[in-house]
Amino acid sequence: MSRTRGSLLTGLLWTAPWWLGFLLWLALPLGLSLYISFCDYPLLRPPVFVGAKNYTDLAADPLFARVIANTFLYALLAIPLGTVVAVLLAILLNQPVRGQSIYRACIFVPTIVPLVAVAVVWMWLLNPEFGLVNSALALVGLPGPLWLESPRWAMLALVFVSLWLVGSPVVIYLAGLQDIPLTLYEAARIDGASPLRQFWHVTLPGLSPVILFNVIIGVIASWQVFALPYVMWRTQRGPGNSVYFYTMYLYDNAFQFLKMGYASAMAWVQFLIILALTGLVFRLSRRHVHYRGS
Amino acid sequence: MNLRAALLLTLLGLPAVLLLAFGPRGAHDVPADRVVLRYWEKWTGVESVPMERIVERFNRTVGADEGIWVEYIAVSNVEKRTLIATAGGDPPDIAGLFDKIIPQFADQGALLPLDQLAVEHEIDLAGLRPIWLEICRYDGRLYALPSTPYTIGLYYNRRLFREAGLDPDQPPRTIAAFDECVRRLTRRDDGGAITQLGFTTSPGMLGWWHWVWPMFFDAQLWDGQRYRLDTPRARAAYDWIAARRDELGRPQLLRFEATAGAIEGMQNPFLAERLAMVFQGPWMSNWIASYAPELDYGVAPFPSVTAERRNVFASSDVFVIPRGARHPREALRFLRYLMRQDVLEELCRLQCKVSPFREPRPDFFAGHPNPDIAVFEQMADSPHAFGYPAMPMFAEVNTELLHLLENVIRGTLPPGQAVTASQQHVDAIVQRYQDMARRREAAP
Amino acid sequence: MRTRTALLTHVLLVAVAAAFVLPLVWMVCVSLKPPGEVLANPPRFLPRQPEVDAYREVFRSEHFDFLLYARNTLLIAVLSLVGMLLSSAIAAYGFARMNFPGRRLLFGICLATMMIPFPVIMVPTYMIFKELGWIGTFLPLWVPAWFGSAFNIFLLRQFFRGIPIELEEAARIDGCSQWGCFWRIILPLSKPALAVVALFHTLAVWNDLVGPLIYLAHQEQFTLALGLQFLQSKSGDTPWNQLMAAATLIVLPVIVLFLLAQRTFIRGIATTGIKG
Repeated sequence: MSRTRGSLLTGLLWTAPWWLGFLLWLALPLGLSLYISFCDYPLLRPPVFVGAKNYTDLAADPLFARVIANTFLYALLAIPLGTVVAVLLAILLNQPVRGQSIYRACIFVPTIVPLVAVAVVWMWLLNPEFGLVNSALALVGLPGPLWLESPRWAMLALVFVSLWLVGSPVVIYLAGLQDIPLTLYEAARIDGASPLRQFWHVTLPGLSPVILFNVIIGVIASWQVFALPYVMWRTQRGPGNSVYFYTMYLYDNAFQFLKMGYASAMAWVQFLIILALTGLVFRLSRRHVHYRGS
Repeated sequence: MNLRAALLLTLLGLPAVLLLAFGPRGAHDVPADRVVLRYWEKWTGVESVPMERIVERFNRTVGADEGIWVEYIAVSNVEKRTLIATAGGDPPDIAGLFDKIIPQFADQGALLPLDQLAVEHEIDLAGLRPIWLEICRYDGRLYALPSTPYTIGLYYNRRLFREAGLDPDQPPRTIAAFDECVRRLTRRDDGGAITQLGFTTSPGMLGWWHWVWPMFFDAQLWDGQRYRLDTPRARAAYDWIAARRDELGRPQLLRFEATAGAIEGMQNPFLAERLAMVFQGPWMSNWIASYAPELDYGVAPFPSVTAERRNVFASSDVFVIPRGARHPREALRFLRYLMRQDVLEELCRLQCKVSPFREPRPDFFAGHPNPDIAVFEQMADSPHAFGYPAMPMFAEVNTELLHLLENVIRGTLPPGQAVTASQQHVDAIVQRYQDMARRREAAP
Repeated sequence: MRTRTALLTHVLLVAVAAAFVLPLVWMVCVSLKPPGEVLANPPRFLPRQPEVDAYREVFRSEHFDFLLYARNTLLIAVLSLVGMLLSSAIAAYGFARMNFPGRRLLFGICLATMMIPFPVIMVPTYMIFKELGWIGTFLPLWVPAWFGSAFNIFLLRQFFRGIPIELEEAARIDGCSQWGCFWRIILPLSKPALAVVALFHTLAVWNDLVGPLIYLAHQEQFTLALGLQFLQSKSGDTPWNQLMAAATLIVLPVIVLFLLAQRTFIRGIATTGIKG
């Protein structure tokens, strides 16, 4: 154990920027929010302790059940689809062709467009009458849905937009691809493996830790979906609450209905859900994720 | 250094450094010898110009005499910002909010009651039209003053009226007559798809006032204890909406509404003459003047179920003094200036709203950008003008009402069942709020 | 065969890139239309007669001062970036190299903070900044960055763990202090990883809306994202062409940055070893 310093003091000294920041900016608000989750707290008056009432109310709140269902559905659609699309895009963008940096920029740039503009652009693209998406569907003879105004399709429309905003994971996958040793591919080729088999037996295992990373970030992000549906739907929750998500309801409770206690209870439930899901993903991935050298 | 790095430096690094070094700096100077009054307002961009001008004039004249310097601060998301700042103990001295927020804020004790203070500071409220003061009251007390009030009327396309064989000088006065207009103003193509629509209550097309329809059926919604959707009159409104949808065809309507564009959005179907009638405020004449100056349109009160009782939705932007404001006295001096008829009417005129005064001065009408402003004024005079329900939990109830309207519009449930279900949810929301208020009373 | 695959790749790339860029092209098209044409129903894709009035407005109007907002944003970005890099790197080094009791717990808490939903801590946080007298200044927007961020600490820790420890051991035998190892060996070796952190952080600042909305008090302090919100009208009469012009201008520098530096970024991420 001579390799690492064992002293608590040096350890704390080095990590001080983080834990000082934690104590200064996070610990107090977090402690308060935990306390507040056991209170009525309309923000403009001091909190009144009510025990576990907010939590029991949550259990009986149909809208709470709805936003949880919506959030799960979104995660179940957006994360797998996003992963497939991002990995495929990354492989495509990793081919040694000229002008690759321009193609990469094209995929990345949507992620930095201000959300207002994203919303307006997609409202136009998804317009059932003159939007390009339905025009394209009509070309292949498919009837286009009403997208944003249809309770059944609104969620899918949002998933589409999330696929358009897939740039950051693509960049991370690209990095992951470049990290897979070329020798592995050469060995596979010598063994006569087809490109598909190479993908299956070299690329995918090599990429698996990065996929795990992105899936976890995706899980966290899906539970924090908030701004985009707000600006894309005039009713701010979509037809029949179809794109009303966990954090949106939390936010409405806090700042529209002035139920900060209730919102805080939601936040702590959310925290536990994300923690559990992350743990689950880790557990499930254990057999499929290959770390090099281990 | 390679080419990329060099390019990066010249294209981004250099401009960034130059901008940091020589870029414009926000100058922010206030005279040292004055009390600085922080005034937060939601109007931004071009909309803020009239008020900025008034503030500037106040600072030059009355403010100079009384040692007050008003700082106009445009704030986006002003309700939330005011809420957080007030909760954090750092509110502005005056905030320009929306009327619908008054009961919620007032019930939490977040607003200064103004009845007594207005008298002390000689703010003349007698000249105001009663409806505008009523909107600013909660639980018998005055918590705000009207800034730019408005009524909502029916804009109708006169050309389309003529085309449909309707008399453009006889806009419908009753719901029954209105239904007939809608029927005749709705056109379809050979496939049965709607190409032109008479009217719609779809919240997807107009996101603002989805709770309002029962009022045109003479309903009493909030009675101080309960929000009543299950009365025959309120039910009649939702039955009416459902019946119109059935008659015109739900799928066709939904398709039209999903494609024709939203009224406050980028593609306005009324300006494009695809929607013959809309429920809108006086400011819409501004859009028409800028984007469709040739449009031949008229304005009338929105019809009610009977011709005798003229229900009118009235609403207003308001001024409030948040609790904890540092300079309430100075804020009242500024409010006193704002409530002068010449000052306030100038603001309302430039904002394309109605005047809050009983007897607007002649030049208010003469210089008003909306040629039909007198119609909106008359509407405010109706004894049956109504504002938002004065209930502190309306924000949450309103989301249920949106859900109800959507259920009826989409036919997810028969209107009767939808109303019954929503009544239960609304009761629960109100009940929870009242329980909370009771616990608050009981707390030490 | 070779050339055919290459051709196919190119075709695919062009198609995919076009699909991703098309919405942006529309954004630019709207910014080049006069207000009347923006509202045309149904909308046209290309402007009839492209004009740059909207851009001129965005630079010159008294309601939207692009250069001022850009400078403010840049100022916040630079001030916070320096602290973010330094503090995240120091803490990450501590988590990567020090083996002190409670390290796992501390690091676990650090990671868990990534999962906190912001709305619930917003009001208490506001109160803290108010007590400090920081409301209405840039301070709440950049000072906290000097205490690192969980995500960046995680990223850098992974990277540091991939650096052979023998380098440091050799240096220590030569009498180099722990700090010296960090400063003279680890940091120089970590440039690509630091570049990635810098990119993600700058983008976050560039797009942050909530922070500036809550903490800034005056229009002269606005950032680009906040200023953009102000272009949206309360009564439905938004100047869409100006909004899109401003959005285009906001995106432009990032495009340039990405085009020229993407190789570094991707290499940086590749070496951070997200692989755990």
